[in-house]
Amino acid sequence: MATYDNQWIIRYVDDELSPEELGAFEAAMHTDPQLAAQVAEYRELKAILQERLPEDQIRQALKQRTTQLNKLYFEPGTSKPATGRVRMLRWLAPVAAAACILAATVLLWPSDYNHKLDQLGQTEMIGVTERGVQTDSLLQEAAVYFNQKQFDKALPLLNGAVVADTSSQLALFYLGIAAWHTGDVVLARSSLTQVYDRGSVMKNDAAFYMALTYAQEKNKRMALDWLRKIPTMAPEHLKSNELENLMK
Amino acid sequence: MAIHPDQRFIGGLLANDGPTVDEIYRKYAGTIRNFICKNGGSEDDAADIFQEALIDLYNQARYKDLQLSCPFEAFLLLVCKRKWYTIQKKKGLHRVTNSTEEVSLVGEDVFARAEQLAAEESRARLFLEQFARLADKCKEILTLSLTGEAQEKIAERLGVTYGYLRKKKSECMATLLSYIQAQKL
Repeated sequence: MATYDNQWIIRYVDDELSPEELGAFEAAMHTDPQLAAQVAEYRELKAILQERLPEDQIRQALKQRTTQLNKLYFEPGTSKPATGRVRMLRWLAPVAAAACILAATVLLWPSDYNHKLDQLGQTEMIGVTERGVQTDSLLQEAAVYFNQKQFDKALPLLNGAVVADTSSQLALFYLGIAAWHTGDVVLARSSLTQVYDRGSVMKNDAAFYMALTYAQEKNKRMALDWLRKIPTMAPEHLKSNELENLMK
Repeated sequence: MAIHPDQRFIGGLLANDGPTVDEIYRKYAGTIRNFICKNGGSEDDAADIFQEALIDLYNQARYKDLQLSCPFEAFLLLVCKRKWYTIQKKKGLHRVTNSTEEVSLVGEDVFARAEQLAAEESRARLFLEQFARLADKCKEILTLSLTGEAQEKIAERLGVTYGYLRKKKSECMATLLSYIQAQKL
């Protein structure tokens, strides 16, 4: 933009141009998309400043509250990537100081806990025998990666299988498990909940994996809610008991 | 568009309602920590992203009438993912998952809304950061000038003429615009 600088843009938006200047400026805007974009940006800047410069006491209070809650729910000061272990609650520290034996047990527990969760969550993806169906070929390909624990590679294939055949409970179920293994808990829960709600043969398995996603976050209440959906006569009940005992 | 029952979380943020904000942390902090930590981030990163996302949701509810048409958790995760991808992109790292999975999970409209939210809040943050670089006098003039109060009264309060105030306001804004434009180079 050779002719019009920022001062011109400001004067235009703030209605400070003479009629002659205004006509020439608007004509230039029609032929110069960059000038038009800069005018739009200045309008946006003004709107944002008008909204956010005045003191907002609620936002300030919300920032303070979330800063406090961050200290409770995260571990500030941990600069290295987390290992994925389950965190020990902060309030356990004084208890541990008072009882060394208990502390030793608690300190050893997280990695063991995660290891056992992994063991409980292990499953193989069953092969698909039908031929010539697009969903099945995607599932077969996904099964190879899934069973090699390359869940990030299995995930897009399973997603493709779900898109290709929205009624495929098998694809949805394994999509949920693969998503869980890759850390996409929302996709995992969304997929597994659908499997459970649709009452497929994998309904109880879906409930078990839902419980696992919550157990990993140490959300015992939600995990138990899902475990209780598994009938005591169901084959999955044994694993369900193991998980419940583990959380105790 | 039907509003999802989880809109109550947005209302809770908007009112800084203690029990609701506590519930958000209790239910969703683990999900976000899990995602960030499994994708190369630290606890600190997860805490920062989580807090920033909640403030972004507050701002969007306050100024853009944000309405949820999907579960809060899904929307929050999308917003946090956008933030994390942006940080990774700045560091020259690749994205970690394919967005088509997210689209199929929540629908295109929700995905687009989360993208829009992230882009708007990112621009707002840039504008405010650059505003903070201005000289104190410029900050004072712009803050007062944008209140909607008559410029003559503001000039009187600052002890300057109306003409001087207009000229100075224009100069300060031009400086601010140049700071913002320089950030994009």
